[in-house]
Amino acid sequence: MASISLDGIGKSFGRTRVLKRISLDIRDGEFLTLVGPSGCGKSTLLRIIAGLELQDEGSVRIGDRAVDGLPPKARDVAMVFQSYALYPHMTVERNMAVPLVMRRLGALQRMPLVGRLAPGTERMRASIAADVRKVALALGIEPLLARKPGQLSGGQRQRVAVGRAMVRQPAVFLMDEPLSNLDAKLRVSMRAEIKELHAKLGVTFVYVTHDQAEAMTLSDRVDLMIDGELVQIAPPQVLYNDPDHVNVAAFVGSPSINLVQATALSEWLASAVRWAGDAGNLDGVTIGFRPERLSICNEGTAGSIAGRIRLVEHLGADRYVHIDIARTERPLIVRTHPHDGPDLAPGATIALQAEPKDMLVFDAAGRRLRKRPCDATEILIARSSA
Amino acid sequence: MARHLLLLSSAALLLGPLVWMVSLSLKPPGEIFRASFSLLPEQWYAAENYMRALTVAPLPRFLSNGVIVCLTILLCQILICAPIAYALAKLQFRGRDAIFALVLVGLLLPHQVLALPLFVLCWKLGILDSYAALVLPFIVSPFGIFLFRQFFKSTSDDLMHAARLDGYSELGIVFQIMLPLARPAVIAFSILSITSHWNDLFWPLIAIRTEELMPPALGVITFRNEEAGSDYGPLMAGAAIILAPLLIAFLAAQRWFVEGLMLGSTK
Repeated sequence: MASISLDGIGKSFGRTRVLKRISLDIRDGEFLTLVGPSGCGKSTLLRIIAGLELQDEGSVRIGDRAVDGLPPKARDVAMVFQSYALYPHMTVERNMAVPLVMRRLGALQRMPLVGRLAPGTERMRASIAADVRKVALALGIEPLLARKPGQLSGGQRQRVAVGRAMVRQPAVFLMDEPLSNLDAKLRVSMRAEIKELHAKLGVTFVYVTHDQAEAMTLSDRVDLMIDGELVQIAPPQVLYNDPDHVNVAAFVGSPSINLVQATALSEWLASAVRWAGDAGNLDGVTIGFRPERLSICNEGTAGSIAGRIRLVEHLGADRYVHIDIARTERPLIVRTHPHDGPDLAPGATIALQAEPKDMLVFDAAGRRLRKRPCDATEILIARSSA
Repeated sequence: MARHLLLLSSAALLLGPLVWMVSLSLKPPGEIFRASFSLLPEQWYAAENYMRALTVAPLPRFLSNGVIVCLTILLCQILICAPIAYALAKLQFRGRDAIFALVLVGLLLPHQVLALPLFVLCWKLGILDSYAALVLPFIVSPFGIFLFRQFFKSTSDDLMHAARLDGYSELGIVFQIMLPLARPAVIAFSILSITSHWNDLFWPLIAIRTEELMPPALGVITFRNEEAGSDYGPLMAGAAIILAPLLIAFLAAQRWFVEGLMLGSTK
């Protein structure tokens, strides 16, 4: 059990700065996900926590001690790698026993043949084997103990890698894209298992992924990194509904958020939304609409904007409608229920509506403008409560 | 088809002397110098030739010297080359590329160039005419470093990271993770190393005078001078005997040998 505290971590590879003074506090028992596009530095940050890379500046604390000078094995962390990194020449049982053997047995006891003669070795080996078996039973990989990694499927290897990390009961679990080598279906079920594992063990998890679905479903808090910087760190729902930066809004959510230049919507904003800011100051301002926050209505409805359907995608439970509106480059995607609204066919002219409170507004630098466009009702409510 | 013909004829060219040697070792003295050619002897003389080869000269002694020297060299080479190769393949340090360049230079140098300085070195150390003189010059093998480095480089960094987290020391990673994984490379290297030192005549000729310490190739030479004279039957039998262990070892490890030398060619 341990909290982790990063203070001003910086790291460069040659001239490239991959981490720019990152500070971050991870609570004891928390499930924190580092998410971001590839190359954003998230894996490097994880390896710095593990002690596999050394930071150029800043310090790492695990629990109540600074671990900067400590080698990986002394940090009480376990890691699951994207490639699983199982030792191919050892059986599953030996793979899982390695962390315990290296910790519990002395150098002499570890030696082949000679070690058997040292006092206590047999007893230690037996207790290690018992611990390995217990973890293997918990993970359902007990029948595989005698096999080698090459004889296992991807999902089984993943479990063995988790088992090897679990067996020595570390204070912190680090996971570096552990699911990205699995097929889509297996990934969803393993995701649930990792969530359960965290609930059961109650230790701190730091999880790196580029898959936002994993980040959203697993985490207590998500830490979005872009280009070596923390952009926002928040619970998944907050990240989705209340992003601080246009990059956060764009990264989180599938299908991704519709981002439209405000200038393209100026007439609509003025007439339907009663834009609260300076109407002349729309340059560079971007407005984001989540696909499910847009609704389709009949042409000519008051406060709507006209568009033409380009494409309709049926996904069973959902229907994604791609709609072209005037003066925008890309179509807006609207997520609707298959039975909702009018019959939709490509080429049909329809109209779109959105609640002002569902619009996310970002300035030219991408920062979120909290002062949203507001409509008359909101103002009335604000006045009556004042 | 043409390609097969080419391969067959070049194989015949290489195998010719070998077959000739075996053939001679089966013949009585009178048949060896006969003008007419036949592969098989008219009168089988194998038992006599091989018996003489094994009894007149201390051939078993030469063979056991060969085993001791070759295995010691191989063991030292692996113990020394593997950590160096690991450092060159996986660790970051200043001057790494320069050191690797030096290894490549070492790879190019023929052993004969170093004979004189090595002789002087062994003389200063006082180990001339001993097993140590046969072993010491070869314990660092640039080829071994090169081969292991190429293999270690192809293993994933994650494996090394996992081993560090699990508590292995750097030497532990080399000998318990990397080397077992590099088995094809180790086997290929072992065959090359043993073959070249088993057959080495040049250096033992310089370093060894005492007959009891002679490795097989050198032993057979003295055997010709002192014992056999122009008696080629037993000489060929002796040559066949010292060749046999190599042939058997190579055939047994052939699969891994090819695999080891093909490393990296498909990635």
